[in-house]
Amino acid sequence: MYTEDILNKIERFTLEDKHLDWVHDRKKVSALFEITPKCNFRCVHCYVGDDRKTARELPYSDIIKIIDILFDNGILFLTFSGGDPFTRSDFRDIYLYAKKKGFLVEILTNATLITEEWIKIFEEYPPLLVDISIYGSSNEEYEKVTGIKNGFDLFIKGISLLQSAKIRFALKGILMKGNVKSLRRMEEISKKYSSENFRYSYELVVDRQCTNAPRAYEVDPLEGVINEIKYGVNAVMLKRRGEEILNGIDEDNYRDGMLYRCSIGDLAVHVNYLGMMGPCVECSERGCIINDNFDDICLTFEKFKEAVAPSGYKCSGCKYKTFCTSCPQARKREYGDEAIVKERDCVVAELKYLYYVNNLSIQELEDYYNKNYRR
Amino acid sequence: MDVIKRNNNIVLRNIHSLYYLVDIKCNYNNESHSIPTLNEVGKVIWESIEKPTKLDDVVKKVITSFDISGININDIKSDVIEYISLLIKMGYVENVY
Repeated sequence: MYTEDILNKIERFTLEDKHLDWVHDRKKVSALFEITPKCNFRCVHCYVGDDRKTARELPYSDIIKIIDILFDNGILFLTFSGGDPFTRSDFRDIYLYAKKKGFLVEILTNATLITEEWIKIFEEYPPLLVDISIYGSSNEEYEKVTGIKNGFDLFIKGISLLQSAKIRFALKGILMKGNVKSLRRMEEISKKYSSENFRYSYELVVDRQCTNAPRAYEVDPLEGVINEIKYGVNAVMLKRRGEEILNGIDEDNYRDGMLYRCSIGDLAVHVNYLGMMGPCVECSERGCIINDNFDDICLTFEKFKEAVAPSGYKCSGCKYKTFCTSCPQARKREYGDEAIVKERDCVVAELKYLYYVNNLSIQELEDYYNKNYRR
Repeated sequence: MDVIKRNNNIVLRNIHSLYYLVDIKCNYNNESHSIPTLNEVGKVIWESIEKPTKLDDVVKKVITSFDISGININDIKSDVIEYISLLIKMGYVENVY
């Protein structure tokens, strides 16, 4: 999904056909940069985990050095994330530095620290997108997820400011125990305030300390799939994939037999709050972007692309793979082995296949799940 | 159009050997918004107009930067003017006087 987003941006904002060489040559044009582990929320599912409280922020001088390195290495799309970037007292200077260098900047945030002063900055130096997480549709739900009593009010205040100033923003829901009943209301909020599509995810990952704590909040696979069918933009893409399979088009075969079927290392890099660069947010194998050579670090990503699936690998030849989002790096952090496949991932992919390819109704899907997987 | 300078809100970016002009004050929300590319000649023109610069000096810069043997000087001047007029129309270059 992330790479599709980058490809869309390349197509949308650049005119020359030559940019297709970037895709062919797997040039890095997009970076996700965690400029802080700190956040004003204490979300139960957050993958930063305890580092929110204990990890140190890189100093401003290192942040600027990293932005310069990304600039020199052809990064055009730069996304600031965290933690929450707005918790940094020097974020204004960081943001303006990146903007004035000519990056197309996006910000991942919970929106609760967006002030009128920030709106003035955005009006003069607009971000490409403010990408905002939504955790519920009331203060009660926000408190369950984020630990903050008036989180929803602060969120609404933040997005109202953006809406009034016509700053482009999108809402992205995180579906979990505690807010699962309000997905429809979250989508309504998105439609009311934002002109962008509402997206959401219900897959939680182990945190940076490799504890399973976030997973306790994961919704039941059936609940996740049924909601995905009903709400948000994912369903459009899933329906298209189902139709492609029914029409005999199965483009996903191209990496069958390989361990990584994703676009790891293709167009993007991820820099974490320690200044360590990897191919994606999940990957724990990284190089120091300040001390090591950028291209040398990128070369280390090749091994993921070239990794052949081991004998007996469950995913090889799997007919549900088109609907599968199972990530080898996430599995490596969870189980210590990237080839171990999580049953939940298989169930989710199978349920989607049954709905979009075998045309089971939602009731039939429930019956199938209850018979085969309900414990 | 005797003296021109580039708009300070426009930044030249080298993205994997392609030169792009990025408007740092543009929200790129409009479907028509995109990021134009410059070729090598465009890049030389762009770099020569950081400060208010006489049009004749821009033409001289182009002439000294490339092998122009066999090309009429007036044709080069005409092409440069046409190109700069386009950049002015796009708001990327300012006509100082």
